[in-house]
Amino acid sequence: METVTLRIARHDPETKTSSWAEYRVEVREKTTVLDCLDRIQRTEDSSLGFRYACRVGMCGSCAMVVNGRDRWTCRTLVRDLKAHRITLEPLRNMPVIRDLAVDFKPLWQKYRQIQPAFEPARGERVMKAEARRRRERIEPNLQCISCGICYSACGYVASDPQYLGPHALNRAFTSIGDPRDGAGNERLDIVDNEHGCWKCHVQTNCTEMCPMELSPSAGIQHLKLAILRRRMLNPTRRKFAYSMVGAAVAAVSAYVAYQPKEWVAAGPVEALPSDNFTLIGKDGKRAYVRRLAGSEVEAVSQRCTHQGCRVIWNGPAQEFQCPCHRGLFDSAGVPIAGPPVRPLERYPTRIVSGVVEVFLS
Amino acid sequence: MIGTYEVVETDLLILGGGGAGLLAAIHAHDNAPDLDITVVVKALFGKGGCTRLVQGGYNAALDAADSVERHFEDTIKAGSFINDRELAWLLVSRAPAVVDELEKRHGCYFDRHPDGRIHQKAFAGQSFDRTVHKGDLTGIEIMNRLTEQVFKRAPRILEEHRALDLLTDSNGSVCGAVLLDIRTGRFVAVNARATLLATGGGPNMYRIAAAAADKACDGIAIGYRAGAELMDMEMVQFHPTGLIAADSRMTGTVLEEGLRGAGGHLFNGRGERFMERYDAVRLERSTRDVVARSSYLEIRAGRGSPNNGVFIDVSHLGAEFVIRNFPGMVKRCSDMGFDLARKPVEVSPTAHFIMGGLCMDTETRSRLDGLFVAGEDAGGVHGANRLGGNGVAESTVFGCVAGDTIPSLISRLRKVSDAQIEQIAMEALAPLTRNGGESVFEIKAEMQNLMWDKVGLVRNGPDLQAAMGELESLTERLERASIRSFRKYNLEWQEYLNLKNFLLVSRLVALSALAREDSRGSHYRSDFPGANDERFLKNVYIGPGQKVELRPVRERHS
Repeated sequence: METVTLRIARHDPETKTSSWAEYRVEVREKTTVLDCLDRIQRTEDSSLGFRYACRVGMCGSCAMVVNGRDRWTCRTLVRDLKAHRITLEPLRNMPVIRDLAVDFKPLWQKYRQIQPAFEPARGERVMKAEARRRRERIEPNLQCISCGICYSACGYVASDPQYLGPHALNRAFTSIGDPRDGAGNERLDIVDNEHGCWKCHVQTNCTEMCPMELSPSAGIQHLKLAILRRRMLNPTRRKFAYSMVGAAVAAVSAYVAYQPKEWVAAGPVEALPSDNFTLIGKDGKRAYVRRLAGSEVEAVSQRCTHQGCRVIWNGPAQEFQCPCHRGLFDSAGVPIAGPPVRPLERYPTRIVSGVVEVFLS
Repeated sequence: MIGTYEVVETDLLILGGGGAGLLAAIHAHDNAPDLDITVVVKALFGKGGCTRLVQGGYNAALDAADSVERHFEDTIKAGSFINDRELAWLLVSRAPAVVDELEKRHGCYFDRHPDGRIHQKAFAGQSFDRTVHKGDLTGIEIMNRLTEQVFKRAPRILEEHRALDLLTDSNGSVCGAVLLDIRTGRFVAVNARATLLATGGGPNMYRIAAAAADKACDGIAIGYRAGAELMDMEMVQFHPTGLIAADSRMTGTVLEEGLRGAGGHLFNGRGERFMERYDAVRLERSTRDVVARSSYLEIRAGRGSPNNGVFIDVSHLGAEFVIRNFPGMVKRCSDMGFDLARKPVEVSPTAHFIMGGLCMDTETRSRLDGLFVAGEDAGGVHGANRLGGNGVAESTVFGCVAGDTIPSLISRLRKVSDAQIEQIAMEALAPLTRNGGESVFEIKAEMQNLMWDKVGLVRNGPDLQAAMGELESLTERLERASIRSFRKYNLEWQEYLNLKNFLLVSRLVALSALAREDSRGSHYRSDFPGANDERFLKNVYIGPGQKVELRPVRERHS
């Protein structure tokens, strides 16, 4: 048994004040983050606000931001976090009700906008083989439990409150792709604008965070392709050339979305400076790496959390700078100026026989 | 002191947002588009409730080689012949049409054979493989699609609102309910022409239990307090395979029945396939009551696994087969550090479902004027034990029935009394004004241990008597418990209100269990170990004033 410290973002709706509170909790092998909250509530502070229902990953009520990453707390073992301090924050991009419980209203509002309800197709029947092909394409994206993680993790939702977001767009994709459904064109009209699928620049946070292992970002790229296909078949609507450019964008986007993840070597531990970041990379995937006290190593993504541009490390100023929209992050990757609101993503690191490896995605 | 409260007038008030509540809303709207419908959900809309937690699937006789009669026979046999025949028949005969409706009208899509027919998998206790499913997480598909259909029809949705009690007029007719908005701590009085109870049961008053954490037998408790008659309350189902994850909240969550259906084995701590001793013919594919009790007896005899359970082992089916057919179960186990596909996993019986509930007729009418009931809140359909896969069938079938019949049976709006509203609100507020009382969480833990030990899988007269006394004293202690006085999203307060319902329903369970002096289905009395058809081929009813009565099983609808 060991003890961890939970640092919890508190928000009191009665006084409308926010603060941080720390609790120490004893954990065992099978203690989840949710168990810690349950224990604090029962034995230490009954005013703690958080939400869960099924406790087994089917309802999507207990998602929170755990050490900077959106997770279901019911299925996250404390020991798997490999940390003695755990920071818990409510999901982002949604209003907080109390402490760690948020109001899902914006998520559902946007979901309702895309008209998610099945509309049986009348008249025309899809050929069997075609139906099977389309069904296979949407199948991996169907079992969404609306836990809000993708919506919370999406940088575009953060920067554009009107953006439909990955949760709603993923459903637009699966409903349009359903061979039995007859309202595909209407839904494509709804998502074909700058707050719809075109807002997505394939940061793929949604796909990386999704605990159900769905790929909303791939679904969104399919929506773009469906829109382009419709325009190409109907050239009077838009210029053909415009469509081709879009198709290229979508193809590149889809490629980026499907980039594999892997461990990449960053050289021996001793060779890494501790006061400065070193850029490492492979196949266009890059990370800034530096040594912390002792032999601990941290790796920070080069992707700006605003629009995905590459940030540049400025050693003397101890800042990451983004050349696109002048975003600034401190050396911990926390945004300090400009449009970014989320910290730079961190990659897992490990040391294998003296050599630092970074899990690049 | 109770503050201002909102008053809502509506035609149909639906308490509960699982399969039964949502389908009732959809059908009622489609039958009468002008109807003003209000859906009240205690959890987040679309997330709470147990339909979402359906894993294995949905029983319906679809195959040409199967028949509704066989499904009926299986259901009655599993229920030890005390099911209400007409309700059971309605369940099995309407299930195929509802599966069809879920697919063709609401957009669900269940797993298929290569030739396009719906795939049906094996569940325990059935003479035919008739369980329709979507992988091993079927409820997600059903609830997602129904949620969208409800959105489209745009009823009034009150999310994170809980019903405290029903409102009744001077004749005892139900005319709405008082709700508590969990987020703001304010009260809402709903004056309704018809009220449907569809909150689902959820026997979370046991130490190890499977239902979602928001479930607290609310519907049964609310209905009973309003004067409705209940039946079969002694019949609490324990699912044989609840995951054991040490002291984690995940303990008790169900590993789906299809694992046993597909040929999974159960072993005790000594490595014996103990089901050979309890049901040599059906073994692990015996009904839930038999398998759960057998596991419990093994554990009690000291032959359990290290963490007081037994082992479920599916590794002999081949890791690839298990991963392909049960991806949700495998992933869940692996997140918790267990390898379901390759190694035995510790499981325990877990309180899962209440067969008992409000008496209803084939039009979902309760015995109270103006009050309808569907899903787990109702009794009679499953008798003494429910078949796996009949639960979601019940909530969806009877949700449809309620939505079809209520619009034509709806009465006029009756006046509600302010005094009654205020009294209900005052009662709910009482613990917030007290100081120095004990913690509700302690009372809850004691109740859960008590119910598990004395009103659980194996019961006897003296234990049940003792339990009645202890439940009484827990109730008194709850009446002195105090709670921090803020109202907005006060979870301790919600726990207090849950406990009030749990303790009431627990007493009704113990009382009914005392009255049934034989063993039948899920109810097992070690002092009366056999079934006594002469005296007890009957249902136990509880009316107002905890009046217990045994009446013959209804062969026909009266």
